[in-house]
Amino acid sequence: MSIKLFDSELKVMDVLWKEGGMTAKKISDLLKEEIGWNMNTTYTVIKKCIAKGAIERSEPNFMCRALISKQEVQAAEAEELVGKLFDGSPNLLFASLLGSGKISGEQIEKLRQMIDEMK
Amino acid sequence: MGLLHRSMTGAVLILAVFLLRALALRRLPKVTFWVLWMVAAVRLLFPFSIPSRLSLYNLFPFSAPSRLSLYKLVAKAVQDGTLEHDIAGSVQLDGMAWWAVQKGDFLRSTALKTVYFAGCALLGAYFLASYFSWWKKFRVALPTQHTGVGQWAGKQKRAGLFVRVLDQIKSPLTYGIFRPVILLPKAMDWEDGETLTYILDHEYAHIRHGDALAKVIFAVALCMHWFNPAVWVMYFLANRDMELYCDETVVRMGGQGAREKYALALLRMEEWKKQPFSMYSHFSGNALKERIVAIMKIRKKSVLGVVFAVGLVAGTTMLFATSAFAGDAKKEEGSKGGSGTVMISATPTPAPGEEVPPERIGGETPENDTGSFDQKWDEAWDKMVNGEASMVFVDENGNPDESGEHQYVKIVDQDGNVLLFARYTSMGDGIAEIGEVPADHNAEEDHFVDKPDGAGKSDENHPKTQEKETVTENGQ
Repeated sequence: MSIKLFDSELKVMDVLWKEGGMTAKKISDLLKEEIGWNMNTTYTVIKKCIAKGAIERSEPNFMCRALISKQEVQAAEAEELVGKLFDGSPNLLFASLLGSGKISGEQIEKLRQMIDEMK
Repeated sequence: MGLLHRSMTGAVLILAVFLLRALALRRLPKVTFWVLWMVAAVRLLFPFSIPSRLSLYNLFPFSAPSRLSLYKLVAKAVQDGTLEHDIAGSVQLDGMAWWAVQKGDFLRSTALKTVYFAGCALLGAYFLASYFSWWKKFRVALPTQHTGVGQWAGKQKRAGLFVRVLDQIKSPLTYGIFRPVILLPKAMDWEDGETLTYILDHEYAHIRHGDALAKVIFAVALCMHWFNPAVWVMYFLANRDMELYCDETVVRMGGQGAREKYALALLRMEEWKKQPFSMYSHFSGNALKERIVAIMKIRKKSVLGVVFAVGLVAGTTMLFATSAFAGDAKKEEGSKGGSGTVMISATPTPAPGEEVPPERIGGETPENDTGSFDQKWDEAWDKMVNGEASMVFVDENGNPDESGEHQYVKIVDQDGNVLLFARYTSMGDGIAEIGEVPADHNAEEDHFVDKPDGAGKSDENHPKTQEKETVTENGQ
């Protein structure tokens, strides 16, 4: 999966991921409310997503449906991050996360559990 | 003032500002240059003319032309017939306008006009296209929840300040004239609160100074004067000076040590790109060195500095942006109505109530001929020069001729009396010949000698032609 999405496109995807499929009009109303984009702006971004294969459009009513899931995007981005900055080694990424002190004790526990379950 | 005239005057003014900047950039408050560049842009854009005794152009020998050169001036204007109105409308008693009239041929050539307008259109299209393509990117910026930004916005006096984040830019910028928005690049160090504050202060300074609108003004001036290299210089330097002015504003807002901290903050962002033809204000890299040096030399605001700066601006404007003052003249612009009306005054026009000496020449119509043509011409000319009469291009019936194909001219005094109704022709070497229209003249029988575009019959043996003296011989 090598769809590269800009922040603006991720924002639109986010709406679909949270609320499921909906019409373009509804998306634009929502985003107008939330971040002040006008209708044209939102439609432009939606069309970009369609062009990139992230959204599927169906008639009637310009119905939008996400073609990729949030998990897929997360995995792809994480993989790219590991490849780009951590020399392909996830360990280094973990080390960086742990060392930054931004992970709470609770989260570390959860991580440990996840590792155990994988074994 | 015609376009070429404005362009030349503008160039002189720009040169003056350039020299001033080269000498004293560090020592003057940067707002000085912001204002001076604005004066230059306004000078380039607007056709008004401010004659002044203090104008530098008074120094030029041709600034207060002799009677003979006045003749030449109008003779040329008459001969050309199809004058550009902006030039005809500004035939003035200064050498520059004279030059502009002579060079009017330059602009009248269709080929050159086409080139000029093509240049304007191209450059204008470039700016519009570039502005539009950036604006499309800016639209999709997202608001930010960053606490530092929120705190900063809360402190500003202006409500509804928009700060957004965009992942498609590399350096911060401000856009929008009516609803300004500050855009921050996603890839910046959000933890560095100090730098963040400086960036926001700088961009906000752009908003407070009205730089978005200023940039548009400079761009329009550049489009209209694209052929003038001085205007390109102005465009680049004006944009730079807007940045320097914002830097100065930020540093002055801060307290002790703000200078050093701000300079370091700029250096921290040095990898960000420069976009020379951008319509948006942004941190720029190439001019970075100039900015750092300028920042390190910013002085405290002082009354003396402000006074000095104001004096400089006023002085430069008075010297360079004005036009020559002819003698004791009260100058009048050519009237805007009617094609080719040229009003020239060299002495004060009579005050209201004061009577215009009623000496009229030869009666109201050519039927009442009492003097020879040359005498009439001289006297009518005198009246014109004194502001008591004006010359109008007309058709063969004496009605104002808007078509641009003048062959006749009427000299009319302030009361509307026709002092002289004459037909003019031109000879190949550019000297107008004026002859009186006989009372019984029949337009179809008119004979002309070598009209510029070859129209009209040519008859060198026509008696009227032979007995005419050329206009330039009638003068002092």
